[in-house]
Amino acid sequence: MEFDLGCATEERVDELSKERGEPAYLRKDRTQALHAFRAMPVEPLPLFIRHTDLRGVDVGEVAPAKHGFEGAVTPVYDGGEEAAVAHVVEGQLRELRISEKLREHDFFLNEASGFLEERPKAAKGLLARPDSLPKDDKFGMMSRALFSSALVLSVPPRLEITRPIHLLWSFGDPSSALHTRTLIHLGAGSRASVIEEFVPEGSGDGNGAQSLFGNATEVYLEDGARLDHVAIERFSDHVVSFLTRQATVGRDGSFHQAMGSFGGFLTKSRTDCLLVGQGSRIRQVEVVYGTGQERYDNTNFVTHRGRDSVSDLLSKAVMQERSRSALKGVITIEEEAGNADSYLGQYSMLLSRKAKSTAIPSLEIMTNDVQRAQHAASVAQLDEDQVFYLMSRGIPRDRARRMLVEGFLTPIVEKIPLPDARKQLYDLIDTKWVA
Amino acid sequence: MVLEQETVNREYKYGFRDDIEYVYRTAKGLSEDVVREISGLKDEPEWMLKMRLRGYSHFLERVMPDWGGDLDDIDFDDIRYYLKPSEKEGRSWDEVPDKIRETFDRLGIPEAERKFLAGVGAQYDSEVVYHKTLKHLEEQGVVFMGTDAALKEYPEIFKEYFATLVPPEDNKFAALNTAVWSGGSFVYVPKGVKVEQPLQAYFRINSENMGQFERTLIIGDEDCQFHYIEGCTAPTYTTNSLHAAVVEVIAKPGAIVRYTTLQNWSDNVYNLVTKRAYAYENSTVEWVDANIGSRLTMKYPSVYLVGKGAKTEILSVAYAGKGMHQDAGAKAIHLASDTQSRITSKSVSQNGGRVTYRGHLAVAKGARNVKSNVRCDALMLDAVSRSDTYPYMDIEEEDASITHEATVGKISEDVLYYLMSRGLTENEAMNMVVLGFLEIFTKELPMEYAVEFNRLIKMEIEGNVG
Repeated sequence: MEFDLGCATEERVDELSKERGEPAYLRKDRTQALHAFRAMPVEPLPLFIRHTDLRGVDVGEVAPAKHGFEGAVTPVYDGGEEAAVAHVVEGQLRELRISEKLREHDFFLNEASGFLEERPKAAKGLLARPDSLPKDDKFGMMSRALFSSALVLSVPPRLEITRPIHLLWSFGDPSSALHTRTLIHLGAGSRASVIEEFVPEGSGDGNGAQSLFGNATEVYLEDGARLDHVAIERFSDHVVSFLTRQATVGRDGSFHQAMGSFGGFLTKSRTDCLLVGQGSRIRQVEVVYGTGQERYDNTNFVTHRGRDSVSDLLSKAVMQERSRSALKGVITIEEEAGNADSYLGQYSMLLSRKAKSTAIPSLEIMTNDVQRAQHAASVAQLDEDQVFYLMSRGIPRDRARRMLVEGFLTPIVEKIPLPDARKQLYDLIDTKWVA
Repeated sequence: MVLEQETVNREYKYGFRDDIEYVYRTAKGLSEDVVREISGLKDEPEWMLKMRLRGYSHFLERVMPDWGGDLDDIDFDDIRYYLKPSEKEGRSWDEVPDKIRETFDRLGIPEAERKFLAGVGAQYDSEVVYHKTLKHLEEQGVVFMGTDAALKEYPEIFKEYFATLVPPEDNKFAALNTAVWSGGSFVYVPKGVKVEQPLQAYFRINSENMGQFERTLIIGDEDCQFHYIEGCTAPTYTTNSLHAAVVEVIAKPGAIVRYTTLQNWSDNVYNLVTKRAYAYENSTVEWVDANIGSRLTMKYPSVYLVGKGAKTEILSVAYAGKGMHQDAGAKAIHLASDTQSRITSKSVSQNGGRVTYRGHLAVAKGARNVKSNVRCDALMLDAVSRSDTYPYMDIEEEDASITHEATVGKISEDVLYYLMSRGLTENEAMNMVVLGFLEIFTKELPMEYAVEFNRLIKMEIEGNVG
């Protein structure tokens, strides 16, 4: 299995870097990432090779998104509902609103070029941090080498932001490629919630031509910081997207993440959570809802390194029509991670004979000093007895089935601490249903 | 190598070796000539030589697997592929050369045979040296003999089934086995025959740098019922031996076949085997698999449920101590409707040992109403050991009901404390907990085996804790 990209060249990297007036270290970082991207296999783990499938993906020759580089914009300060909103359309930052209240704080949200200008010192540590993406992930390296748009969110120590910060990526230009980065840094003891959305732009289905979207989200939580992160992807049918995320959680830090995959020709995501600090914790939920011929390939890695660290990951997939999903996961408890507590659950529901689902929940445990290391998985259909029961109460069959699917997904949506995100997920689940 | 020096200290009561004069042995290393030599010595039909050469050419082409365990230390040129210990297959122990008979005496085989076995086969290095089946079973048409002898005596049945489940091209080690196979058991139980007592085979490697490549073919005809059980041991050397067997089990409609292995190789043996069963309509294949020895085992007994209503139950137990890696598991491939599988895996790791569960559960398109349940439990006795779980589930039918659960844990301090407060030493308490953890497996063994298995586990744990 190969994956080549015509526009992944050193000339392109130079052009991007020059256009943005980037410092030499960043150009070097891009070049290194480019080499890594070219050298790496699509699937680094022998464990998953047979379950990584790029068939039908045809984006090797797509051209970079044509919109020129505009860079950082001046934020509008207002008293809106949300703490901040950044909306990037086809690679250009079109809208940036920040709550009036945050003006007096050391808060930053803008294009990376603005961060480079305003805080050159911090920028180096954030944008070229060597360990902020998985070293063996080809697609993370692709975004890092070729990003034309990047958002930086930086929250100073001890600042607690209660209302959500909204990041929106709109994309859908036929036959184009857009590579992006999202960099989130929370200072010690701070708190924030981020809703990140990957949404379709334009009404076209690409007339059969595929488009490529790449995003690398790099999250760094200092000691005691807490981030609630919701990432929802719902691209159109012609978009192939590669989403690589890594979160590094410091001592007593806490990362709550909700991931939703709802569209696209192929969505391949990889999420790495590193529990490096003592007492660090993560709680992740994931919803995958496939219809039509959509394909999902979701891999989650959780690594326990700090003592007393806790992880809990629950994935649920509903597959209708001809959709396919592969849920893959590896929990690693390293030798020095004493007293870790870890759970990985992968549950799929197949609603059609043509749908397909794969689950590979793996564990690698290097120490017996564990509180709990557990995983569970199931693949099942709707319980006909329950459908029958609802029908006996006068509910039509289709409505009954739909209710049961909602019942399957509700417990995990309810785990998301942000009401806005919950509502949005319920709406998406509702619109996805195929009668 | 440091590792090897350490591992030879493991308490292993089967580590003795005999100096015997081999009747025949090939030179070290593998070549087409060696393959032809083995086939010629056995005076085989042309089709078998062709099959061997097919295996050999695929073995050369196929790359080493890059997953599973560390195979770097296998030196195919330093292995002797064929060692013949005696002229013929004995029908009574008196016909077996003295030294070899003594070995099997020490392993307790003749005694067990008298007590409770329906038939016994004993293989020493490359060849089967003894084979015997109870008379009344022979009269009913039950065939239990060395695979080489079966090729001569039952050429038709043999050709019909040989390499149909595991073709030479299946994997590198199956290809190697096809090229140089020698010995193994051949079992045929006719329609409707029920064999009450187990049929047993015992595999012993004696020589250093030896490769044992037995080939076992088990055919249960319609509505028959039997239990085949095998054990394996080897001396403890500082250099490595290779065991690459292929086992094919066929359960015809309505048959109930149980296959039990107790693998207790010394920890210089690479145990890389391919074991596969086909379960036809309404048949049942029960697979009981224990791995408590070897340096590296890569073994995934696979049951293909090819007929409607077939069932399988696979029970896999693994223990890894110092210098050992058990990469074991199970596969259930559902190709027909109304099939059921249950896989239970229990593993214990200690003293730097590593246990891996690698499983595959597949429901093919068209296989409706499949039910499957997988449960893996791992017990880690110390902080330097390692336990991995890699289950694969590929489901292509909506009405399958599949569940998988796994836990990894340690012995709780509370439990140990409670047992010790009742007067047990820490060792005894640990033993008790581990044996309790593995009881689901020991329950499935004939009593004599269960006693032996418990003793082995106790010895392992004490030897390692000591």
